[in-house]
Amino acid sequence: MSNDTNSAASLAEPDSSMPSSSPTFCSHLSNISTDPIASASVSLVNPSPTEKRLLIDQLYDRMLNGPHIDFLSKLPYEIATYILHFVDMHSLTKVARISRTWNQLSRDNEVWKSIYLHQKQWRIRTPTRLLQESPSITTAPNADTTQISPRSQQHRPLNWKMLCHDRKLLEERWSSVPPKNKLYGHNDSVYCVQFDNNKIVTGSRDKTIKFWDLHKLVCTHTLRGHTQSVLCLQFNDNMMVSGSSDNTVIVWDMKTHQPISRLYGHTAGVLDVCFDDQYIVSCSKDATIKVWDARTKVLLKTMMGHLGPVNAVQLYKGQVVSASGDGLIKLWNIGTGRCVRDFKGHERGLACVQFDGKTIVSGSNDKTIRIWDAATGSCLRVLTGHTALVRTLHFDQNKIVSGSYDHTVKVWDMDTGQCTLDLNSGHSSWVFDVQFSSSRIISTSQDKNIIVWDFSNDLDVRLFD
Amino acid sequence: MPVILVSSDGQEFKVDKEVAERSILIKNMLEDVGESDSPIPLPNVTSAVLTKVIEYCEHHRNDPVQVPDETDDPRKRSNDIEEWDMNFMQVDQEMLFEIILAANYLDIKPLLDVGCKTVANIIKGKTPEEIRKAFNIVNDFTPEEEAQIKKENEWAEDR
Repeated sequence: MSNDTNSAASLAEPDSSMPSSSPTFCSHLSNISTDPIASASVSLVNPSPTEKRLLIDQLYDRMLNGPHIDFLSKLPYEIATYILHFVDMHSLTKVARISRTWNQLSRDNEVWKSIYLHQKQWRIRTPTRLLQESPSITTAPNADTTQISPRSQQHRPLNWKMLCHDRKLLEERWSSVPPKNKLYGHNDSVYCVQFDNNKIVTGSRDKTIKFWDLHKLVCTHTLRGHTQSVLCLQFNDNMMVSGSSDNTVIVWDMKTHQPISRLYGHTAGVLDVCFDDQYIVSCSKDATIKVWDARTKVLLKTMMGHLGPVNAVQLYKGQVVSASGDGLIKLWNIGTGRCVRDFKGHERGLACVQFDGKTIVSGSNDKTIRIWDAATGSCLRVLTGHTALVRTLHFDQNKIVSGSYDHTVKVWDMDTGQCTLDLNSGHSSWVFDVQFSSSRIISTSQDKNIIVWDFSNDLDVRLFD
Repeated sequence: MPVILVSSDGQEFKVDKEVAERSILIKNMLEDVGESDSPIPLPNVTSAVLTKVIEYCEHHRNDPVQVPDETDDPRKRSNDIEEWDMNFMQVDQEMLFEIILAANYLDIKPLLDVGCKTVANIIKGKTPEEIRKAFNIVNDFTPEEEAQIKKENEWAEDR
C-alpha cells in the first residue's frame, strides 16, 4: 500500500554501524507447522456452517488462544479497511456493533461500494445518466422533496451502505405480493410490453402502440401504423421495431414517434422481433426467421429450418436463438445463416425464449420452463408449476419471471429452480408478456390490462439498475 | 548475487536477490541504487518478523507477478488461501499483526493479502460477542447506543 520510494532510497545508504557478521537466512528458518488437526480439517468436503466455523477456529487456534490484539483499532486506517474488503455484508454489520472504533471503520464508503458492486445483478445508474435519462426527476413540479439538483448530485458522494440497505430491502420484497397499478387505454388484448426507467411501451390487438409515463402511469403517445394486431416490439433510445399480424415490421423513430421504414417479406404474422446495432431479426408464423440490415433495412437472409410457426427469437452478438411451435429451440449463426444446434426436450410447442449468450430459458405448451446450457445443448433444469402454456418469460442472473395462459405471473429462483412468488391475483385471462427490473414487473394480458407490480413502495429506486 | 537485509535489532540476513525482490520496496531500492553489496537496513522490521517474511518470500520466490483483477470479488477470494500459506499463518496474534505491518511496509502485496484475509476469516461468521472475545475488545458503547446500533444493523441478517 504505502510505497514511498524516497524513503526507500535513503534507507539504501550504507550504514557502517550495522554489525557485519550474522547468521544466514537458512539458520533462521523456523519449522513449517504441520499441525495434524489443521491438515485433516482442510480436506473436509462441503462442511456445514458449524463445521466450517470449528474448522476455522481450529486452524486459527494459536491465534485465538495466544495474546490478543485489537487489529482494526491498532492498524493504520487503510489496512484496517482493507481487511474489511474481505468481509461479507452480513459480517460487516456485526463489525459495526463491536466498539466505537470498529463502528467508525465499518462505515467506510469504499468498503460498502465494493460490496454493492460485487453483488450479483446489483448495478447502479450513474447520476449523470440518471439526469440525462430522467428529466421527470429534475423537473417534476410537485416533487420538491424528491428533487435531485444536478449540482448536489455531482458533489455529494453516494452513500453506499444506504444503497446496500435499500437494495437488500427491495430484494426481500420480492418474496411477497407487491401493490399493483393498472394502465387503462388499450381497447383489446395487450400482446407486448417493454419499459425502461421513464416509460412503458405496449402493443395491442387494437392495432396501436402506446407510450406511458412510468411514474405517472398515464398514456403519453399513441402510435398508429400497423393495420392488424401489434404482436411484438423492441426499442432503444433511438429506434423501435414492431411486428404485426399484418405480416410487416415497422421501424419507428423514438424521438419523433414516426415510422422510418416498413419491412415487407414475411407471408404470415410477425410473432417476434429483436435488434442490435447491426441486425434486425424477425420471426413469423410462416416458419421463417428473417435478418435485416439495421442501417439500410435491406433483407440480408432468410433462415429456414423450423417446421412450425417461429414464436420467439432472441439475438445475441451474431447469434440467434429461436423457439417454434414444432417443439424445438434452434441456435443460429447469422454469419453463415446456418443452424448450429437443436435443443430437444420440450414435449410440445415452444412459446417463448430468452438467451444471454450463455444460458437459454424457454417456455412451452407442455407447461414447463427449461433452462439450457447454450454451449452444450444440455437441459440444466425443468421448472414446473404453471398449469397451462408458458407464454412469456424474462430472466437475469438471479431470477426468471414467467407469464402463462393459466392467468398467473410467477417468479423463479435461477439457482434453485424454485417458484418464489406466485402473482395469481392480477389477470383474469391469458398473460401475453412480462418484463421486470429491480423494482417492478409489468405484465400484459388478453384481459386488456397492463399491470405494474411495484416492489419499490417508499424506497428511492432511481439509482438502481 | 545475494542481498543482505538488516533487521531493526541488527541481525543480518543473506537472501537471494529474487527472494528479496518479492518486496517491491526492496526491488525499487535495488533498482535505484544499482548493484551493491551494502547491507539494506530495515529499521521497521524485527529479526523474528523478518525471519517469517523471508520464509514466505523463499517459498513464493517463483510465483508469477500478481495482476490484481478489479472485477474479482475480494470477499470470494478471502476463502482461497493456499494450504502452505494457511499453515504459515498459524502464528499468534502479535506475530500476525507484525507480519501485516511488515508486508505493508515492505510492499509485499500477496503476503499483505494473506494476512488481511486471515484476520477477516476470524471475524466472519462470528457474533459481536465472539468477535470481541477473539480480539479482546472492550465494548465501549452505552447500552442505549448499543441498542440503537444493533437496530441500525439488523437489516443484513438473512431472513
